[in-house]
Amino acid sequence: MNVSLDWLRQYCSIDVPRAELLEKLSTIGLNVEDAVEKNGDLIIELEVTSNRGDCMSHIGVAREIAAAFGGEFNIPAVDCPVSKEKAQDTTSVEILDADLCPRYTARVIRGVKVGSSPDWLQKRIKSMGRSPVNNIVDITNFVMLECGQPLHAFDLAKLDGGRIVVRRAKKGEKITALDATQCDLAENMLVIADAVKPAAIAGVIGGADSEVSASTVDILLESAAFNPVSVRRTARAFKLESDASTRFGRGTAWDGVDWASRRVAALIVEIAGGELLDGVVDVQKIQYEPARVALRFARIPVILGIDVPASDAVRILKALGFEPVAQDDKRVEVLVPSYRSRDVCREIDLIEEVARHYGYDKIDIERPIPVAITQPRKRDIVQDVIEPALVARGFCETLTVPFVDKSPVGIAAMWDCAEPLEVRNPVNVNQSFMRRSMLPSLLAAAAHNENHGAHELKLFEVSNVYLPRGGKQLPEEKNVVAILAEGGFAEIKGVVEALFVDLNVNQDIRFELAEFIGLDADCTAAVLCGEKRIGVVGMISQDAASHFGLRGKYGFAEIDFLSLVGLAGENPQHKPLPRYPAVERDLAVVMDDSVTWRAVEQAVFAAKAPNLRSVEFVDLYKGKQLDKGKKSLAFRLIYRSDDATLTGEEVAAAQKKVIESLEKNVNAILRK
Amino acid sequence: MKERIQNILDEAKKALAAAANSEALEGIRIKYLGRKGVFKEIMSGMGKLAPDARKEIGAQANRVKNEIERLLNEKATSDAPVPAAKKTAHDVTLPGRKYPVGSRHPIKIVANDLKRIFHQLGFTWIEGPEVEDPWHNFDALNIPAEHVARDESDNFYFSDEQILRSQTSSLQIRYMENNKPPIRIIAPGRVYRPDTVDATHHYFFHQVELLMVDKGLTLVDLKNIITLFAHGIYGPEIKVRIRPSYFPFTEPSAETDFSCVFCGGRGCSVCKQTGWIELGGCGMVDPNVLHNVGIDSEEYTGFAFGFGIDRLAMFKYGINDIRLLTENDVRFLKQF
Ligand SMILES: [Zn+2]
Repeated sequence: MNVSLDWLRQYCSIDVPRAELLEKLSTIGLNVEDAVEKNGDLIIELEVTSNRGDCMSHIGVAREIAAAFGGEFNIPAVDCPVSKEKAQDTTSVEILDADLCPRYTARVIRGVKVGSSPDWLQKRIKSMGRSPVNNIVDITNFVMLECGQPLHAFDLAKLDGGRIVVRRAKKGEKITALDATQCDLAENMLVIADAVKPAAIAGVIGGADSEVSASTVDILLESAAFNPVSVRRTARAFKLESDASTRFGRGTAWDGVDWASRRVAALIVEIAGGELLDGVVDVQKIQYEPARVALRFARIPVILGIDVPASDAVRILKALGFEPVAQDDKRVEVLVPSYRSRDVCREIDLIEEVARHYGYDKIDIERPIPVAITQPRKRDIVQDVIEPALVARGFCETLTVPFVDKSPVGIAAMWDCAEPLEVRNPVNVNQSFMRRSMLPSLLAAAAHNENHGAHELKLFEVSNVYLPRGGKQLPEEKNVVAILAEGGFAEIKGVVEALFVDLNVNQDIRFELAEFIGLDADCTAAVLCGEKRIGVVGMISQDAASHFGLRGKYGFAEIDFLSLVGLAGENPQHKPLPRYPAVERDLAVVMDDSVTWRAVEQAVFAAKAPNLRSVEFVDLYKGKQLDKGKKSLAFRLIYRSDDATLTGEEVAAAQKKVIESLEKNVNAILRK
Repeated sequence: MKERIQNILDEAKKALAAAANSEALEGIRIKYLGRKGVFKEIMSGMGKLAPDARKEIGAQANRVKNEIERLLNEKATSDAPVPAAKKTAHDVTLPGRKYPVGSRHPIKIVANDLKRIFHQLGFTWIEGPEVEDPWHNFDALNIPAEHVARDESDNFYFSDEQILRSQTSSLQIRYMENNKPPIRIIAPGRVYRPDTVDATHHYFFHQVELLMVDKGLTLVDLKNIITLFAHGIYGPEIKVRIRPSYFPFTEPSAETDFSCVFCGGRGCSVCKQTGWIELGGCGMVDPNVLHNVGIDSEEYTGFAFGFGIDRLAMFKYGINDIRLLTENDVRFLKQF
């Protein structure tokens, strides 16, 4: 909102230096964005918060200035001679949709002479960066900028039946707006119609047909109150956000409707001649009563933490237009002026008004805050382990936007859930869904980096995937650890396994072949703990790679973060170090290619070989030296006793049991 | 294979016997033990062998290699006088072994800074859903149906019942619904608002919401907490000011400014010559909000403070384009 300093002086006296005025405006909540000297005037750009429709006008800002400096504040008197003819006998107003229009007033001025505005009026209009149009339009704009109430002048002769019907548009109705925009009206939009057709889009813009032109003689002057949401919605639908729609969109003052109408009528008669018909057609669909609100002086320090003398509080409220109707030493009761009816209705709102003008800068006392102790939660501790560990292993932490496209890999899911959430108003069509996996997000990041020549990419992010539960329930937002690494399956699996070590996980974690969209069906595993799936590790599928135009080979993992938190071993307990040395024995066995390493491990332990502590994979061989469909596995067995150094015979006997078990359980043949 | 290795030993012995000077000895050393020597070749061919054959041949090769080494040393010391070879020092300017080095995201680094500071002040860190219902994102926060903040131009809607949260204040409601005062929480989170993307605006950004509810809390305490926070993050010389503003869920409401960290408040291009940098919004929790979560506003008061993390990170690292934060270019990420 721009205001002119020169214009403001019409309503209040300003006798402080400009810098002090600007500083003051900011400190009472009218933040000064800019102030520019123009033709000897100062144009001040104010940031007006959405609750302060009243400050979308010079009078509103002047009232604040007068309250802040304690100066005079005057609103121009409106006085205009009227003709014998009565407005009621000339026109009528019918409100069919009272929910969107609680009040509509019409005044009629006959015999005007449309022409250009006088200099003083043109100067005001130009100072606000607008172009003068003609005297009638300029006057309505001037009064809107003066008091915040938008008004519209119709050419009465162009209104069928010479009357006004306020109603929702009918199906298929159209209107050409003043600026020549063709508008197909929707049935939820409010229009100002005559007896036959829409003549204006309520609160947004007038129609070209009934526009005031050089040939206009009689004017019907509208001043009304409209539903703010309806005006905002309609203005946006046609991209016709205007001075009027932004003011109606914030809500206008009930009492301003009639004052503004009289003000415009008087100026028209003064500037453009003609006669104002007697009276006004004023249809009110609600009974407006000013709110009566009490302020207990004792509540002021309870909220603000400082004392404000009761006399100061009452002085501030009065200056802002709140009229005291009852007062004693404990409280004051005030009537809320209609220009503040939308944002002041409670005691706390009055306290804010007092604080604003008493000065937030006085809220400046040092007072200690009581000490409180907090303990980090386990999830914070786990996160503080995982993230630095991945960074230390060469991974870059990404921050991806969770919107994805609707391609199969875009909406791929690693978890059971319903159809993905679709954004009704997306920023663009390729970002209209909420991801159900981090896969598309990290692949997009990888693609960006490949295109900039990066290689050996290693990315990770602990973030959310959004898993709809169907119906009206909010989705599950699963926090996952997602990892993308260029390389083979062993690389990515190794990173995941290292995390389990970092977190002192001592449950059995299994990897079982599984299929997921976006991942290679022959090289992807579900990560299981007991029967619960806690994650997925796999190689990117060819389809997914080509969707993102990726050249490299990538492994991907997505692990449920809260499962990791649950599995993380807190405070691992110390075990005594071994007193006797371990003995290592290597074995190489040949078996069917389909036998998994896990089956081999199980066969080894099924032997119940005494003192066997662990088995470690060494090597896998497939190829010419073996029959087709066979593989050779080499591994190391570690034996150790807590009671003595193991003898060669003891170990040999144990090895024999292992070999027998391997032969029996997985059909393995010892490799000679 | 075994035979071949035996032959190598015999051949080497002959060559040693024939060597007349240190140059000849060095030639033998290079031929058998050098980087491209005979044993290197044998070792690299071992991968083709079956595991146990590999073990056996490996052991034999090692024995022979050690033997040749021993004989070489013997000959070198006995065949005096051989002038001591001039030893060249290791080139210590060569780079060390490259270990993988990753990076933290700047937003996460700053979020962790905040976590540390607010832990010191006794605040507990909480999370909550990003996909919200209108009750938690709007109604309970005193943003009624007709309020401009609910418009589709300011919020991402999935349906009339589900939206992406447009502020972390929704977390206040979720927490207060389930916890009674005294409350001292800090809630970081991702928030979403349709906005045209440019160097300083994005539709996806990060906020932190602080909430304290107890008996006897006032605007004075709020300002003191913010001042402590400012000192924690930028040092004790930072000043804080609050000025009136409007948020539906606080009353009175305020904007918070820090004295400019770049110019010390004297005025510079970052602070547009004002000496102050706007940090975020704050205020006393609106009585309607307390009422909506069943807290008596006559008995308890509280305050909330919300601010953006993105801007803090941009200030801290001199990042001039918010888009870099979500572009995930490793050339950018590795700078932190
Ligand atoms: Zn500065």
